[in-house]
This record gives sequence, C-alpha cells and structure tokens, in this order.
Amino acid sequence: MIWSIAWKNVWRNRKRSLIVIASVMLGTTAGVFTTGLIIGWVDQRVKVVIHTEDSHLKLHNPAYLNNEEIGNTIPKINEISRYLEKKPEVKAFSKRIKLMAMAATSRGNTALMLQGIDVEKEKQVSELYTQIIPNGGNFFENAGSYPIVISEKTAEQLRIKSFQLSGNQLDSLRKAEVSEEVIVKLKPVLNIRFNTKNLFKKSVEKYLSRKEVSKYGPAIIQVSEHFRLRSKIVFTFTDKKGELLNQSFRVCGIFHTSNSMFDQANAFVLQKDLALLAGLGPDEFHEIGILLNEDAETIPVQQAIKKHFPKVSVLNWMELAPDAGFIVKFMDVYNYIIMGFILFALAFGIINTMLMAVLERTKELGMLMAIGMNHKRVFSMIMLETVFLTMVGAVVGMLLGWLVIVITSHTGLDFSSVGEGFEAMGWPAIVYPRITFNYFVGITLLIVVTGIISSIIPAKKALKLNPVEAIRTDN
Amino acid sequence: MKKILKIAWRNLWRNRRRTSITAASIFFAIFFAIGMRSFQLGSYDHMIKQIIESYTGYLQVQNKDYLDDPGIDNAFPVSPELLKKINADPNVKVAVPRIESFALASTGNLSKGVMVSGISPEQERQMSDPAQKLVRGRYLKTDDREVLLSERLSKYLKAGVGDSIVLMGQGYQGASAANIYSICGIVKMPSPDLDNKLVYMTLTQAEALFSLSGQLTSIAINLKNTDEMKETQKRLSALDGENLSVKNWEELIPTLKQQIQGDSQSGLLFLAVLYIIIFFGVFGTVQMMISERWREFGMMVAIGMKRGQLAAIVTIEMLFIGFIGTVLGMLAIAPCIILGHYNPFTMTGNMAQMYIDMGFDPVMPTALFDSYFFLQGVVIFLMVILASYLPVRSIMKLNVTKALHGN
Amino acid sequence: MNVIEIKDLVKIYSNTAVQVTAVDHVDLIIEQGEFTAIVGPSGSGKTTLLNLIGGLDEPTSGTILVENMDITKLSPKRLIDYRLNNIGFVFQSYNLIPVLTAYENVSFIMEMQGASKTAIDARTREILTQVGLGDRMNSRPNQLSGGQQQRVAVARAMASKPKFIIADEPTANLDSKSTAKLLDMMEELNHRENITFIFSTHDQRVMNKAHRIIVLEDGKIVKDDRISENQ
Repeated sequence: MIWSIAWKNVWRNRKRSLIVIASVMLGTTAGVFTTGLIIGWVDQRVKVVIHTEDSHLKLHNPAYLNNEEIGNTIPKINEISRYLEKKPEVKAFSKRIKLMAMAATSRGNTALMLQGIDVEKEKQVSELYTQIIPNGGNFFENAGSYPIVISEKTAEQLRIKSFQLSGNQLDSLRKAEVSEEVIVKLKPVLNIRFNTKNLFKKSVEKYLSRKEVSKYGPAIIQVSEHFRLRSKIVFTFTDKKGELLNQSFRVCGIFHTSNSMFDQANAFVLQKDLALLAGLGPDEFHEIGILLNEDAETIPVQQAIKKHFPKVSVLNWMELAPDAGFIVKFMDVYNYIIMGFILFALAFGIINTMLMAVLERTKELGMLMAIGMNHKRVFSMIMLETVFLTMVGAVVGMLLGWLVIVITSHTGLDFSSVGEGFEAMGWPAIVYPRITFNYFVGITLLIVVTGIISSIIPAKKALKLNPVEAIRTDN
Repeated sequence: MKKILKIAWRNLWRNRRRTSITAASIFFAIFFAIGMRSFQLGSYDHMIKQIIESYTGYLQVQNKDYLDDPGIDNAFPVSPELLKKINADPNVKVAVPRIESFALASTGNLSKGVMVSGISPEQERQMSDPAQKLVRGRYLKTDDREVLLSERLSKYLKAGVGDSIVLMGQGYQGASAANIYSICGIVKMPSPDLDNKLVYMTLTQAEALFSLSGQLTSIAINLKNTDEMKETQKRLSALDGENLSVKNWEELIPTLKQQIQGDSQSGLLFLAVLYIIIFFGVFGTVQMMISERWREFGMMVAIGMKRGQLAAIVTIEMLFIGFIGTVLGMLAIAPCIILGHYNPFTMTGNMAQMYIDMGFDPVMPTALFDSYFFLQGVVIFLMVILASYLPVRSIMKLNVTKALHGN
Repeated sequence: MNVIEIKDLVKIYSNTAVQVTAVDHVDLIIEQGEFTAIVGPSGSGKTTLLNLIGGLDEPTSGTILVENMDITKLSPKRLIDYRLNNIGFVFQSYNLIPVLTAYENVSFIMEMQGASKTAIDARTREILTQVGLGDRMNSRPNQLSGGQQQRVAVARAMASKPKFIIADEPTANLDSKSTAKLLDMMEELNHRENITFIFSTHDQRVMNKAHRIIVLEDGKIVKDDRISENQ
C-alpha cells in the first residue's frame, strides 16, 4: 500500500511534479544520446583499426619495433605460419614486408612506408581493398609491372590527382543534374588543369554564386577529378646491404580510409616486387597481421602465441592503436560519469521539490505517525515517492533517447564540418550511434540511486516531525 | 528601494533549506562550468603555444599559391625591404625567413620522412629559439654546413652528434636534391609531432640543397598581441598584395583549428544541457516560493502593497540566490584554476602515451581569469531572470479575494 | 477491568523563560467500555492529557498502565508500534490520506498491522457498512462531506479493534446534523463492540452524549461525574 500511496502522491501537485519530470526527461535523453554517440564512434574506430589498420594481432621481430632496419625479420616464420594455419581462432593472416621509402613524381614528393603484400591473403585480413575510391582504379587486379596502391592524400601530395573540366565532360555534368546556366558560367575554367582541390574550388567559386556552389559543387568536383592512373612514382630506398636504390612503380589503385594519418603514411605493393628490390629472401618478413574469427577472444590467442614463440613480439590492436585501446577501456566509465553529472545536477531540483512536498504535508505526516506508521515506513514512503517522481521523467527520457539513437543509427550523424579534424586524429567523421541494453540497466540503476539519495534530506525532515505538534489544531 | 532589498534578503532565510539547495545548484553549475572551460581553454592555449608559437607562427607570409599547393616550386623571392617593413609593424614581435620542405633522411639502414627547416640561426632565436631547446651538442652558426635534429627523430634514426645523415628530396622545378650532412646538435621540440620529424639547417644550406637562390617558402611571424591577429594580417597583406598572401595559423593548420573547435563545441553543448537542468531547478524553486506565499501576497496587496513591488521582491530574492551561488562558486574554483595554471596536471601512463601518440603534450593546464570566467556569471543572471519571468508575471495578475481564500 | 490506570501523572513544559505545568499530578482510572469526555477551557491541559494517554507524548513523571502495561516505559520506537496495534485515533481534521479511497484508508492500517488480505477485506467492508458508508467505499476524501470523512476516520480507528479510541475534538468542524449523526454512530459502536471511547471536547453536544465527564482545570481534575446511560 505504501507503494500505492507514494505513486499517487507524485501527482498531488501536478504542476510542480511536471517541472521535475521535464528536467529529468531532458537530462536522461541527453545522457542516453551522448552514450549512444560515443559508443557508435568507438565502434567505428575499432572496426577501422581491426579491419583496415592493425588487425587483431600483429607479430614482429622485437628488434624491428626498436629499429626498423630491413634486417630485423621475424624468426621461425614457417613454424609460425604452420601454427597459425592450424589455430582455429585465426580466420586469416597476412605476411608483409615493410620498407620506408621516398616517393617522388615530377611535381611532388613524400615519404611512405611501403607494404609488400600477398594480395589474396591481404584481402582476407584487411578490408582496405574495399576502400578504393570511385574512378580510383583497383586493388592489384590487372597489375602490370611494379604496381602500387596509394592513398588519396598521397596522390594529392604527389600531384597525381588533378582537377580538370574538359569540354567532353559537360554531358556528365548534365547527367549529374547540373543546370545549363551553371554549365555556361563554368566556361572560363574549361580545360585548365588544377593541381589541388582548393585551387580548383577557388577558381570555380569565382564564377558561381554561393547557392550554386553548395548545390552543384560536389558534382562538379567529382566529374573533374582525375587520377592519372598508371602514372609513375619513383621510389628511393636503402636495400638490405645498405645501398641506395631507385625503382619506379605505376599507380594501380587509390584508396581512402577515415584515418588521415594512416593514409598519409602507407602504400601497398606486391611482395615479390619489394622482396626482389630489397634483397630479401622468400622467408623474410617484417610483420604478420592476424584476423581472428568473430567470436574469438583476442587476449587468450595473444598469450597462446607468446607462449609458443617467446622470441616474437605479439601485439594486440589495443596496444597498436593506443588511442582506440584507451577509449575502449574507459568508455563505460566515461559514459556513466557523464550520466552521473547530469543526475547530480538534477538532484538539486528533486530535493527541493520533495522538501516542499513534505513541508506542505506536515499535518498528514503527523497523523500517520500518530496512528502508528513507524519511521521505516515513513522513510520508505517518501523515498518511494522520490524514486517514482524521478523514474517517470527518466523512463520517458530513456525512450526518447533510444528513439533518437535508432533513427540516427540508420541515417548516420554527419560531423563533416569538423570532420577533417576528426579524420586527422583517425576518427570517422560520420557516426552511427548505438546503445546496448546493459546501459539502460545501468542508467536505471543510477537513477534509482539518485532518487534514493535525494530522498534523504526530505525524509529526515519528515522523521523529525513531532506528531503532537504536527497535528496540533489552530484553535 | 532599500526597503525592498531588505525584505527580499530577509525572505531568503525564511526557508533556509530551500535557499541553500537552490544556491548550491548554482554553485555546482558555476564551479563545474568554469572549471571545465578553464581546462579546455587552457589546453587549447597550450597546444597553440606549443605548435604555433614555438614553430609555425601566428602569421606566415607566403606565395599566393603556396597554401593550396605547398611545394618548393611555390617559393617567393626574398627582399630585405619586405622583411624590414614587416618587422616595423607595431604588432609584430618577430618575423623570420624560412625555407621548408619535405625530404627523406637516411642513415645507412634507416630512413624517415622529415621536414627540413632552413633558418637564419640568429633571427630564429627570437622565434622558435632552437638554441634554448638544445639538449646535446651545439647550436647552428650562420655559415654552418651542419644540421640540428629533433630528439625523437635522432632516436629513431640512431644518429647523434657527430654522425652523418643523407637528405634526399626534390628541388626547385624538379631539380634533384641530395646531400650528406653532419649533425652538430639535438633539439627537443615541445610538440611531440614536430619532435618526430624536424631537421634545422641554415638558409644558405637549404638554398643549396633545394636549388633555391634568393627565395623563401615562408616568413613566419609571432605577434605581440595575439588578439589582434586578424587586423595585423590585413595590414601585412597590403604590403605586397599581388604576389604574396598572409595566412593566419587557422588557415595554415585547419585541422588543429577543427580539433579545437570540435572539442570546444562538444564541451559547450554539455554545459548547455547542465545549465538547462539547473534552469528547471530554479524555475521550480520560484514556483514553489510563490505558490507557498500566495495567501500572504493576497494579504499584502489587500493592505495596500503594489503588485509590482511584490514582483520586484521575488525577483530580487532569486537574484540574490543566484548571486550567492555564483560568487561562492567562483571563489571555490579560483584557487583550483590558479593551481592548475602554475602547476598543471600532468598525465601519466596510458593516457599520457595516447596524447603523445596524437602529437600533443600530456599536460592539462588551466586558463587564467578571462572573459569566459565572468561570462558564466552573466549566464546565471540571465537564466534566473528567465526562470523567474513567468511565475513573477502571475503575481501581477493576483486576485486578492481568491488569494485570501487559499486558492 | 481497567483499561487505563494513571498514577500521579505530571507533564511540565519548559522553554527559555517559562515553566508550564500542563498536567498536575493526575490520577485516573478508565474502565473497559467507557464513553468518556474530558472537558475544560483552553489551557486546561485536556489535549496534553489525551496525548499522554494516547502515547503521543512522554510524561515528566508518573505512570500510565494500559491493561497493566506501563506505556511510559516504552521507547519512542516501541510506542509507535504500540499505538498502531492498540490505540485508535480520531482527530479534529486531517484524519485521512487524501490520495486513498475510504476503503483504502481503512484497510491501510490493517495492512500495516500485517493482517491477511481476506481478513482485511472482510473487516473493512463490515466496519464501513456499520458507519453507514457501505456505498461510498471507493470515494476519495475530497468527494465526501466533513461528516462522512469523520465517519471514515472512526471506521479506521475501529477497524483493528483497539483497546481504546482517542478522539480529539472530532466534531469541531462539523455542523449540528453531522455532529449528531457521528455521535450516534460512535455511541452505537461503543455499545455494540464495547470499545472504550475517550473524547476531548468543547462541544456541549458531545458532553450531552458522554457517559462520564471529567473536568480539568489548570492540569488537575476538578470534577468527575458519571452519568447514567439512560439519560
């Protein structure tokens, strides 16, 4: 019955209760949504780390981690390969040769870590091959001699990518629904080659209005984007003997991941090509990337490999990408802290409201204590009322937050305006929020605790009441 | 007026608990909001100082096309008059000439992409001051052929003072650039990102390496008053608008600006949510105060008090509460800010490593008192006014008979 | 049998400056089945005496025996339980929980006492019918007249068959018709179930109904008349 009384008491002063309910609803929605956002972000970052950058585990010669000299290859490579092939948790693994080289074209230069890969194996381990950009070639499908796959950023740095709107592309523009009058306005920039997207953009913006730029800009840029595939890049590097070598590679494909740092630093070539150039034998590799099966646990596998091959360094993705590892570990704590803050702020309003409720019911409370309601029951009654008051807003807030997460998880949230900043740190610019049932349980618990703690002050006030004084009539 | 203030103040203490709780909620909001903003702004300041002030410069004079198409081909000819004019600007602290380009550094078996920075050793002392950052060896002299390496770079390449490295790159208009240099000193750059890849040499040597005679890639400028950055930028642009342009650091390193913006905005959003919650609390308090005293108000209006005066009293009561909470909150957070500024919180362990890996210094300094500090007080003031508006307005419509009958 | 035996009861209130002797060495015996009114002007101490008998207040000295148990020796916590299980209360106002119906107000107290659901239901219906509110069981207090509310209060007080019922000015807020109805009902319950009723009152009509009138003045009993039942 006390539960029933407490629940009904919440609605005695509807206006006052609604103020608290509204604030709790707002706070809970904000907390739930923020949690979903953070989980979604971390999801994507981890996915990229495991499926594109680092895999679940990477094996190296420990000396290589200290000193990326070409000679520090992985010992017992064949034994390791056999072990990994037999291990049930391992889905696939890829052996790689790595070599730091200077890349140069006639118009630009940069340094890259060349990864010599076995194409089929690499495709099983990394999803990079799915991230070739449109019109960006392919991932070693029709190789030719000395093919290389580079990132879009690298292509820009080396001036392999350029922008040019030629006369025979106007039809593509029309197909992309660019209006005739805009096409006419673009006449002055026809057939001029621009080295960077920014230069091209600036020239186009000279002739178009702001509205036209935002409407047709992306289409114009896409049509004018040129990758001079098959263009030549000359690489300079030192081989195993310490001699300086030159070799030109031809661009076969161009990729883009959400991690600019990764993109800027890496390029992929065929293992046989790189091994030959570097003077490495058929069993000399610098790195093995391992992808595990979906339900396999990373740490046990890592420890098993370490045990079997104590002279090999085995690192998991959390160690390889410490930013991701760190946030995954602390994500839960972080989310609950945010919710905790919000609940702390809400508590003030809840306490005040319940205090008022107690103060205006002194006669009633006095009566109850007089007819025999003991302290425990009085406390429970007030505590329950506080918790119910808080829960009403919280339940609605959780529902609302969940709804927003469901909607945005389909459409995705676009942070492009600050997107480059995120990609520069390796985080995706589009987020798909997600939340698990556990969080709702946790949040509910936090809310109940908040209600209970908030009820202490009002309940104490009620218990201090002396029934004799409380029921004293004014006559 | 004085009487109203006295009544309002005394009224506050009629319900001590409620006044205290409401004031406490504002105290919490102020304490947390100022604290959080202080940490955020302090971190940004620190990042900017480390990367911008200690290397890039708040402004850079460049060839018009250099920003969109950075490369040695977009160098511009140097003229001593230009440098003089720039240095003469009232807000320019120092302007130094630079040749910057990318190269591959190699020591036998190891190579790495590095940023070669050709400087005037004497002038650069007032800018990024590599001399002060020297940890081993000696600083560059004007006619030196040697180079300085940043510390993490030297560790990676396993090359120290006295060792040689080969620098290979691309020179002006496709000329090949390659030479071997001896290392005369190691510098530690405060920004971990720069510390990984910097090689200092004299301008003369850079000119020789990249086949640039009499040209620079940039003039880096530090300012006396950074708040006037944009005005200074405009002034300097006028000096040679045709061939050259002046860019500020936000244009030079947009990713940094975006990172700062992103972080700042998310912080502000969180604060907004917090403030709205407190707003509800204040609103609730006003409501309760008024409904509790409705009968009393009825009586006061009946005996002749103006409704407007009652409204004023209630509003002033709320403002007092806001004031108490705000002042106490500010007093409480102030020593933390001072401590955090002169003795900043330094991270350890994994968190520190994560920051370093991202290229940031693992410290969290606070920003000292500035507009953001007092802004919070203004926000609270406005919030209290807003929260009180509707309830107080109802006082103006008070019906005496109904009020006296306990409606 | 003596339900209540009071020996040398004293209650002194002292605040900063003044000492007030509200109950001044009172001896009193109340027997089972009495329908007794304690009367006296304001300040005579009748409310204080009633509060002491009802276990709501602690005396400065003296004993109160209820069926030979000294309730003055009980700790405040035990007193609450004692009141719950042994004493019924009817106050002048604020008797009922506004969010509960008449039925729930009555059954609530039995729930606190831990009775079984079927027993509670049976007794609640029985007692509410007895006080004439069998058809208003699901009404909330704000849907009942003042008199009806007081009858529910009596029903609640009676529901658990307490040793005695304390009624502090139960008719003060009622009109004469409701007062009469209420008093008749209480008298009938007293007669039928033999439950002791102790009133504190100003109201002449209550005094007219009482079987025994105790007059208090300055904390002392100055008159104690028993009136025959047939009057």
